[in-house]
Amino acid sequence: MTRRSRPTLRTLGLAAGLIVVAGFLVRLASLWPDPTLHPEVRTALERSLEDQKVLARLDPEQEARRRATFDSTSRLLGRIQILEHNRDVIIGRYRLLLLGLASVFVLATLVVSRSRRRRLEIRLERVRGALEDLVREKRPVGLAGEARHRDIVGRIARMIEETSERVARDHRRLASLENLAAWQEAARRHAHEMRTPLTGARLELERLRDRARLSVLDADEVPTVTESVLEELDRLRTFVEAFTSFAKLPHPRLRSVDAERLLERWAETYSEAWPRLRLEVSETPPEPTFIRADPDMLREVLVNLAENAAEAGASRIRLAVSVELDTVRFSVADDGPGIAANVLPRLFEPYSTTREVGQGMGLGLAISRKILLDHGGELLLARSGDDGSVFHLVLPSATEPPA
Amino acid sequence: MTRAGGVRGAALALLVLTGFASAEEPARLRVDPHARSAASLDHLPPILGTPELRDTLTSGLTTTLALRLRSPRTLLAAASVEIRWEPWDEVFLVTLTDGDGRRRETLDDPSQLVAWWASLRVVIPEAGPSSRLTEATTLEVTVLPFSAAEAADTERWFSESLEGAGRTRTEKIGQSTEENPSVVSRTLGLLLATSLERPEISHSEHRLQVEVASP
Repeated sequence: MTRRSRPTLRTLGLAAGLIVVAGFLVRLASLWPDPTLHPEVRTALERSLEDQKVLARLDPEQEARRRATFDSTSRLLGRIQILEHNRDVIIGRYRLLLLGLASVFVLATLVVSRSRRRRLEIRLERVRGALEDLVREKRPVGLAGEARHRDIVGRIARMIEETSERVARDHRRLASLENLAAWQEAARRHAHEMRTPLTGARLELERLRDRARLSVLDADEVPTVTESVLEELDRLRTFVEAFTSFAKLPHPRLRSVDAERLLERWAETYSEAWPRLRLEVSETPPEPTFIRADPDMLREVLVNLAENAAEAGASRIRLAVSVELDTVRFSVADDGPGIAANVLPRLFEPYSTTREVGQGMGLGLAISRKILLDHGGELLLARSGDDGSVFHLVLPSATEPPA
Repeated sequence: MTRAGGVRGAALALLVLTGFASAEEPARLRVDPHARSAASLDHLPPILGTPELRDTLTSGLTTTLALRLRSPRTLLAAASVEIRWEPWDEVFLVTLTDGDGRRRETLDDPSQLVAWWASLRVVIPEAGPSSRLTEATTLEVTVLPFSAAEAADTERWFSESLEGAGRTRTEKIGQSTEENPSVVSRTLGLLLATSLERPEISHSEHRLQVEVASP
């Protein structure tokens, strides 16, 4: 059955029902006049009239009373005869009255039904909006106005409220757990980064102490042990400096910089920094392109990206500059093995690294992204695959040339 | 004789008596426009014995015969005759309302009624020089089965009967009862009982012969 035929059938059914009711009402209209005006009623009244006359003749002393009764009955008979003359008129009016009442009833029912349906639609729309808020924002939604109703819509509203509370609770718990997990991971790395050099230094000093106690210490051993301890302390210092650089990342000092020249000079300066990595500047805009940047901090980002590429085994990095509306885009493309899929979702988060514990904090890309954000730009991973990765440094363009 | 027998006898008598009437002669209107006196209408058509009137005249209700004089387009004059069969005394009470006012008579039997009708002279007022009665061409007779007063009485009684079906009674010890018809039953009574109609039993038009008195 098509949607189009359903309303038609319903309309036909309603019309048929109304016709049956109308027919019933029409028949009902004549039910009460017919018994009232039945010939037997007249016959009984006429017999009563005769009886009064007979009784009056038989009991003359009661004639006045009989006459009064006779007149009363005669009047009633006359009224019935008048009603008989108007039977069709009265029945017609009665039918009109019943049909009018039925029509008013049907109309009122339709209006009430339509109004209820409209109110229900509004309530359902309200509930649907709350459901969308729940899906989108995962926070508690309030439907106090609907939840107090006892019907199905009210029950749905209460279910949505309860579910939103649960979802928000779970969401907060998950966020806390993720936060705790991140802190735990950070603490674990911090502890290991610090423990390794401290343990190494302690072992060297204990060995030196033991040998001194045993008086078997050789004079040449002290510089060696001292050197080892200093190496471990350097390692510790390196960790502290890296951690500090992330924690105390300075604000960039922005000025107008020639983008192409910065890139070319950096590639030239660091051409030998990674023996197995070749740096090439491949594309630059035909016109001079200026950016508002802190050149030292931008160089730090480029070093970090090149460092990661070199560690991953890349042999070449292609650098390019392009202009898009009011931004300048640096493209840094390597030919390494790409980034592991499990790292991608958290690539720019602190302590996100593929290195073993003790081989790096995983702060490089996080620091680089922070630097670009502080420039009013962004650091993006444009693409990563078996043939390498491409990072984009997006920076706001500058209209004036460098000073 | 029982009422039923009396009624049937009267009806039969009317049939017989009016059946003996000669072929219908035109009603006669006598007008003297110069004398400023009333005109008169007589030789009324013998309609009392017709089937429509026979039962009506003996019903106990007031049969009303409305008389109208018409020119082709205009109603010129009117009068009415009311005839009621009084079932207790078994007599006919007749009332003529015309230019002379209202005149009542009691007739003992159908023959007197027929004779009375045959000799009836209806006074038509205002037959002065400007009167147009001389243009009259037709006498219309409309028979109604009951009077306006009886219709009004039945309306009132019917309405009270409908209100009585919805009345509420408040009754306390030592106090009289009160009957208060509800709004619904009062409305119902008003809708159904208002303006009971007086249907025409018959309507006939008869030739009219106008006699104008010479100056």
